[in-house]
Amino acid sequence: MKLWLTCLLLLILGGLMVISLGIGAVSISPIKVWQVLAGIESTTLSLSDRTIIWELRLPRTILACLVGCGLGTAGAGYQGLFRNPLADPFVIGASSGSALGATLMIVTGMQVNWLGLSAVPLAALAGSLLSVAIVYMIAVAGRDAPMLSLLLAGVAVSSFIGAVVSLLMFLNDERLVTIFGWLMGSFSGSGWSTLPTIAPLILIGITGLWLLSRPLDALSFGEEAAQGLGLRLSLLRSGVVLFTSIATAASVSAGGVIGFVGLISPHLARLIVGGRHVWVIPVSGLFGGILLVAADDLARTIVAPEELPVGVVTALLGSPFFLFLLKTRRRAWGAIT
Amino acid sequence: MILLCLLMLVSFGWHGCRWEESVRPSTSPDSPAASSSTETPSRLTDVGKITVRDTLGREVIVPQSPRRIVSIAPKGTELLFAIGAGDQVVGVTTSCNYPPEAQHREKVGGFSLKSLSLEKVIALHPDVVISTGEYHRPVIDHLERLQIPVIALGGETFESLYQDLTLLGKVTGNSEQADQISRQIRTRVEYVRQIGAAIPPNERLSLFYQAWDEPLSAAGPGSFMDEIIRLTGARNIFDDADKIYPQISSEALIARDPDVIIARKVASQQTIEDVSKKPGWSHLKAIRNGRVYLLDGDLIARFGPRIVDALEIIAQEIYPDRFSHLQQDRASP
Repeated sequence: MKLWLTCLLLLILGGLMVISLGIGAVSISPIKVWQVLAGIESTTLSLSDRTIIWELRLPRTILACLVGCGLGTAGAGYQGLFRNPLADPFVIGASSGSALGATLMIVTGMQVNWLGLSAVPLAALAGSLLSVAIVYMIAVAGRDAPMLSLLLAGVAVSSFIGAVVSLLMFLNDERLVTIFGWLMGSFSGSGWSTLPTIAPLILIGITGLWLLSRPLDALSFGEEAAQGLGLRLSLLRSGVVLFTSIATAASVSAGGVIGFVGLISPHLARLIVGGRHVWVIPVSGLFGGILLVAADDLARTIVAPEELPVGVVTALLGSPFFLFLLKTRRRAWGAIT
Repeated sequence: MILLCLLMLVSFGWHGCRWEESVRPSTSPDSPAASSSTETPSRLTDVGKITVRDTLGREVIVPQSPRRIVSIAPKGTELLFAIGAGDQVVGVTTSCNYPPEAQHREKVGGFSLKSLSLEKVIALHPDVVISTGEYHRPVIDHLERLQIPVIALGGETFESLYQDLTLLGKVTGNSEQADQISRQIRTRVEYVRQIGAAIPPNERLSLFYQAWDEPLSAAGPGSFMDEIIRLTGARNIFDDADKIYPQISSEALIARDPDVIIARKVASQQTIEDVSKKPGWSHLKAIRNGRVYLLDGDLIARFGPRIVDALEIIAQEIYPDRFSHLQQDRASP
């Protein structure tokens, strides 16, 4: 049953990705999409159709799918680790660090290119990993209740870094539009160049988390119970934080700070496959992919030829949907707490 | 400790004085009591006043030939210096970098609402403040309440540039020079327009103006750039947009495949390669033919007197043969 549902989700994701190749500021018929993908020569195909599909839509759709999967899985990882339904991939500072990195690069206008990533995504990636590392070190040094101190340190470090970002924005208001655009999250203008770096990182994060499914299940009985079952809590904690941050940092680096996908996807996953992480983690990823590909389709079609930041779409649709879930499926929350 | 208290007292006293000083001009300068006072030499209370209508349609009473002008618009600063009113300018924003003399004036903060310091503006005792229209509305309202006259300048057309020149000429008492600059600009614009209009339809090139790089933005109808492109005889590929500066997707650009791309320089290190290397752009006609140009942001986005330089530079870049003789004619106003 669970397997069938998962396959169904995979089909939906695949279908959505195919559809999104045809829609956008310029709509291209499914036949033409097929011709371009299969490499069939045809007189009706223009060079611009080919360029739009191959160099813009295909990498963009793959990226949106991967980032969605990464955020969905990361959300599931943190919700499991903190046993808190409100945890999301950014809960311990991943987004603020990346925002600081990106803002610094935008403000200084530095030009770097490494591993196919230009200055802004590179700094976002590094900033995200660095801020989580700082939070982790502060929290572990505190000892007493590391889970709680992780959350608290995350909040404190995030708000501090957030203040620095605001300061940078204030001092450099001529670049405000660019910084703001990045902070709201968008896949606009992404091509193939970032995929060879982003894709493996997200896949490593997802796989790593998935391998930690069983210890996460054990943890859901409570910390004492889990330790009684022979679980090494500190090892699990560092593992989950490591893999989640890799997936999150890569996602944020590719698409900016995109909210709600990482929060909602695990809840949706638990609704259909129950609470076991071996299912929750991959299915959250699938839901994340579906949600983000759909949101990106909306972002680039509803105001065409203009584009909306995809982060705005996910927040606009995500929060009411989350409230709806909260209202109708109150009992389902019990599964994680 | 005592020293500290003393210091505090002194600084408080000093601030108190400054405060009184900065508030004084706001106590209704039109009333006889205020106009007979000679304590504030900066205000020309005994000289006549004139009434002008600014571009927001407001009736503004300003002192005739004001001696203390604060410009909170880089465009206003350029216009004031161009019409020979530079000596009357006492305050500018940190963005006012042209002409170079303007940088030696007192700074009242940045151009944007957040970074502009109203206190600084008030402390300079301006006879009149020059602002950019609607964007500065909150500042205008504030200064009006303090009885400081504010002139709002116009929008993004050559026609409103001429109106601004007339208005500033009248306000500063430099009408003659303002009219002269206005005539010079008109002649140069008319020259480009005539050549542009004579270009046969099949030779009209399509153009994409990149108003901003990230997020990618174009110039739509109602923007100065749209008018400039039309004057040169080219066609703006986003003249059907419903915003002045629409954010657009690379897809729309690739589908419209322009002949020429002109990008506004938004960062000093930006190069033509940075503009061209975006995903999918390598197949664009303009990029394959090497027809991408990068233009100084201040020149094309400030809508002051130098916008006519931008018009000529752009005309030459689009049609180098037709406008080849413009270079030697150009004389900055």
